This record gives sequence, C-alpha cells and structure tokens, in this order.
Amino acid sequence: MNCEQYQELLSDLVDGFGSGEDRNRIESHLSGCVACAEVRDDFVAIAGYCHEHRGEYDAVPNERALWLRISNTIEAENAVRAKESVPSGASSWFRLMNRSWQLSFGQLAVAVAAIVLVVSIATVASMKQLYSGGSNVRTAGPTIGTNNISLDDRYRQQKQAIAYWKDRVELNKARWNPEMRDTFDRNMTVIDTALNDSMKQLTQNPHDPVSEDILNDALNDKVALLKEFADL
Amino acid sequence: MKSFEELYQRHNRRVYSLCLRMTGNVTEAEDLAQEVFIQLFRKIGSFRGESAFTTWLHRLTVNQVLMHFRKRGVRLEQTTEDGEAPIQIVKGTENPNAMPVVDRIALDKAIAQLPPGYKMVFTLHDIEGHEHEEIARMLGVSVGTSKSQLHKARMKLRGLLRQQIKPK
Amino acid sequence: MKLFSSATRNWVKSFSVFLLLALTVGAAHLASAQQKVSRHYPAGKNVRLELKNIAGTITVETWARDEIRVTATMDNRKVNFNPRQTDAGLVIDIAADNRGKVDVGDMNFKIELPARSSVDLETRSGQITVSNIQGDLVRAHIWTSGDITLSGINAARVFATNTTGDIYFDGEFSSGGTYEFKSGKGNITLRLPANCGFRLVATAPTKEIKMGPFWHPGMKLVSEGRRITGDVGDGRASVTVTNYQGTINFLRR
Repeated sequence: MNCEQYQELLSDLVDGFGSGEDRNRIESHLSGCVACAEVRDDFVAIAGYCHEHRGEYDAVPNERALWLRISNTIEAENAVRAKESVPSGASSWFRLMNRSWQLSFGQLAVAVAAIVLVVSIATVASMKQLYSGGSNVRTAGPTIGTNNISLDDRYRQQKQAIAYWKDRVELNKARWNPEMRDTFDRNMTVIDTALNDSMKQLTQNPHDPVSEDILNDALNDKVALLKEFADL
Repeated sequence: MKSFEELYQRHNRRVYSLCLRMTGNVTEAEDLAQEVFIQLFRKIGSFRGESAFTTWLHRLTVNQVLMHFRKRGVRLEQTTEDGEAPIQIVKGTENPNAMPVVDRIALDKAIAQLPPGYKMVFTLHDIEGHEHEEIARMLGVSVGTSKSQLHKARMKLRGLLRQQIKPK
Repeated sequence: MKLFSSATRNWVKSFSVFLLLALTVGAAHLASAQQKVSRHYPAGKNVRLELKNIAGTITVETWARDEIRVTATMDNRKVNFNPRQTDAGLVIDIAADNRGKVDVGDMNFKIELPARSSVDLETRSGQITVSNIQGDLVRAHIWTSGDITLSGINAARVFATNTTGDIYFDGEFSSGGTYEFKSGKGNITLRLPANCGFRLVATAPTKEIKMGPFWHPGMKLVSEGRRITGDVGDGRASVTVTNYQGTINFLRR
C-alpha cells in the first residue's frame, strides 16, 4: 500500500472506525511516515475542533428583518387561502345569496314596492346634489384622481421593493472591485434618469401613455438590477 | 403567529447556520432560512412528535438546501476539476509543522471554498454530527460515497487551511 | 539638416528599446496570468446553449459540425467553470458556480455550435456577439454595460436587452415571431430585408425614431412621435423596440 491509500483510510481511523487489523497496519505506517502522520494530525485537529464547537451557531445578519419577511409571506398566503375558502366557510352573506326563495304573491308585491321606493329616493337625492354643486363634481375629476392614485400606489409599492434590495446591495457593495461598483452606479443612474424624466412628463401630462410605460419599465428594471447585484 | 415567532426566535440561528455552512453564501443562506420557516409553518401540523422537534427541523432544513442545490443542478459527486480551481499546495511549500490551531474564521472561510458535494457531507458529518448512514439516506447516496466525500473534503480543507496561514 | 543632436537620438533609441522590452514583458506576463480552457460537447440539431457569465465578452459563431466547442479565457485561474450537459443542450452558469467568490474577474467565451441552435446568453457586463444562428431562440441580456451585435440571425424569438450600450440586429423576422430590443442608453439599429413584415411598437422618449424606408403614412405617432406604432408589410411578426435615452434606427439591407 502506498501513502495515498493509507491516507484514504485515515478518516475512518480518526472517526474510530475500521477493523483492529486495519488500525494496527495504519498505526505502524504512521510511526514511520511523517507525511501521513501530519495528515492524521490535521484530520484530528479539524474534526476535533468541529466536535468541540458543535452547537455554536452564527447569528442571522438581521434577525428582525428576516422575521418580517417570513411573517409577511405567511400572512399573504393566509389571506389568499382565506379568500379562496369563502364558499366552504359559508358566511351569512354567502348563505343569504345562495339560498332558494319561495315567496307568496303578497310578499313579492311588497318587495317590489320597497325596491322602487328606495331607487326613487336615491335618484332624487343624487339629482339634487348634482344641480346644487355641479362645478365641484366636475373639478373633482374622478378619472384623473383614480389614475394618479393607482400610479402613485404602484410607485410606492415598487419603492418599498427598491429600498429592500438596495439595502442588500449596499451590504455587499464594499466587497466589489471598484470597476464593478462604477459600472453598477453608472447604469443605475441611466435607469434613474429614465425614471425622473418620465415622472416629470407625467406631472405635466398625467395621461401620457409613453411616460407611464417607461415609468413602469424603468421601475421593474431597477428592481431587477438591484436583485441581480444583491447576491454578488 | 405569536407562538410561531417564538419558534423562530428559538431556532433561527440553528437553521441559518446550517444553511450558511452548506451554501457558503450569506444571501443564499438567508433566503433558504426564510424558505425553511415558511415550510415549517405549512408543515408544522404534520409533526407527529416521533422524533425530537430539532431533529425534524434539521431534516426540513437539509431537505430545503438539497432541493435548492438540485434546482441549481449541483450534483453531490460534482467536484472542481484539477487545474481549473487550483487550490493545491505546491510541493515543498507545505508547512512542515503540525496544523496550527484551527480557528472559526479560518475554518468557515475554508469550508466556503469547498465544492458543494464536499461541503454538504463535511457539514453534516463533522459539524452537525450525523453518521454516514444517515447522511447517505438524506442525500440518496451510498455510505461509501459519503465516506469518500468526507475524506476528500478533509484533505481539501487541510490544504486550504495550510494555505491560509502560509507566510506571504 | 540634422534636427536632433546625436545625444538626443541615442537617448530616443535607448528609450524605444526599453519601451519595447517593457511592453513585451508586460504582454508575456498578461498571457501567462490568463488561463484558456477549451471543451467539446456532442450536439444534436436543435441544441440549446445557456450561458450566464459575470463579466467579459461572449462570442457565438456557427459551424458545420454536430458539436459545441466552448473556449473560455479567464483572468482569474481560481474561477470555477463547470458546464453541465442537459437533455436540451449545454448550461454554463459562471454566476452560480462562483457564488460567494469576491472577485471572479473577466471571463471571455468563444462558442461554436451548429446553426440550428438556440442561444440564451446573459452577463452582468461585457459584449455579446452572435452570428448566423438559425434556431428557435436568440436571447442576449446584459445587466449593465456592453454592446450587443446579432448578425445573420433567422430565429423565431429574439430578445436583446442591455442598460448601456448599442444594440445591432441584422437578420430576418419570421412570420409569427416575437422580437424585442431594449436599451437604457445606446443606439438600437435594426437592419432588415426590404420585404419583411412586422407589427411595430417603437418607443424612444428622448431621441429620434428613424423608420427610414419602412415608414409609411399609415403609421401612428403617439405622444408627439415619442412612440411609433403600425404594421410594416404583412405585419405578422411582433416587434417591440424601447430605448430610454437613445435613437432607434431602421435600415434596409
């Protein structure tokens, strides 16, 4: 047997395995071979260190942030599940909507009369409001408002994602080489410029479809780029 | 959710450390730890108490890491080829003395440099204290493969640790 | 007439020799620091190559052999490089193979494969050049800076995207195909045959869109011409071109 073959048996020896005969054979080789004896000593040192320090754990870099990520995911999943399980949960509204109705002619007539009365009152009230404060209604501009809100919401949501990934990038950035840092920053500026340009356009013309598309695209690009570099 | 948070508080370090040692990457380990706790929440109802909770969670974590490696196409037998990751010690430069005191930082650094297959077996055997039979079952390989991977891992670690302390 | 004294000429001569020597030594050192690896893999007719690099150039060319040759030149000799053969073809993921490594350095790839192949290429920075691919897919994505040059392409799906750098496409659009080109800052040039047909959405919010010979009055200008939409020819291929801060240019072959 050569040294390489002896060394292959050393792991077993260190872990306390192998037959007595094997052990004797290896031990007698080790007593005359400095190189193999060194390998054995190193294995003992490595395995011994690991054994001694078993049960020592590393701390999560940000324990609280990780918990928030976990709990958010679980809560989101629970919300989806709750939504999907409405039919089996048979809420009172669900039961009300799904039961079969058997009405007499009298009951039916009363119900129809009640519906007509409610609709009439509602119509008169809304007509009155329209004529008394018409200009206010028009200037409120529901389309513009809704549009702006949804865009803002989208922007806010993306901004949260951006902040999260940005933190992760910043954590690793110090380890990158200067060239990589420079490339990343330059390209992030390109995306930010597109973002700012489209935001500026949208403040002047909130309905501009091109700026809306570019804003969405650039936000997605920014998140994707941060995500890609967060691992680096 | 409160009681689950307590579970998280009690076990997050254990889970994260195992993920970190098996992947050697902080971000990956964090993502995997997150996935383990989400899986734990989903599966906690199936815990029957036949084994200790920590053993059950440990298995869940190992499975999650293995699944992650499988998705990345890492095979247990995969090793870097000689000449392409030349972390070899040139003959004559070895430290003639015995191994210096192994320290945590040096060991963690060296483990991170091991090929995935070696890293898994070394972590499970030497750090986590599993027997080869258990490791073979977990990884779906033979006991012989587990033993041989451990030997190769220790040899590689030895080289890496000696290289770290080699005088510049 | 002598312009320089003999002392000056001697000094210039010595300096030139020194410079030449320094350059030679420098080049030799650079060559020895790099490592070149070349590998061959068998390939069927419709093979798919997937490559995810970190930094460096990617050049893909075709040849008349049923095999893939990957030649990689790397700055860092400790880089892990483990190509994986799959049922579909070949996967090279330098990013995953070297996860956790601080500085992998540039890795330049030259890949030769059969023309009827699909290629899916991605890098964090560096140039991508693909020539003469006739397969189903050509995807070239650069996360940050680098030019993309696709020439002699005839594929059903083409995606070319970068953040900074030019994108050049010279090829054909097949009927029913999908083609997307997108840059943050750089010029996008598409060189197409006169008879090609496609439905276009081209958006360049800050610079010009030059339709060249493909312009016709039926095309629609949106937002003061920052977007052009409309059909060219039979309009059967779908083409989307977006450039945040650069021009879009259509040329006829």
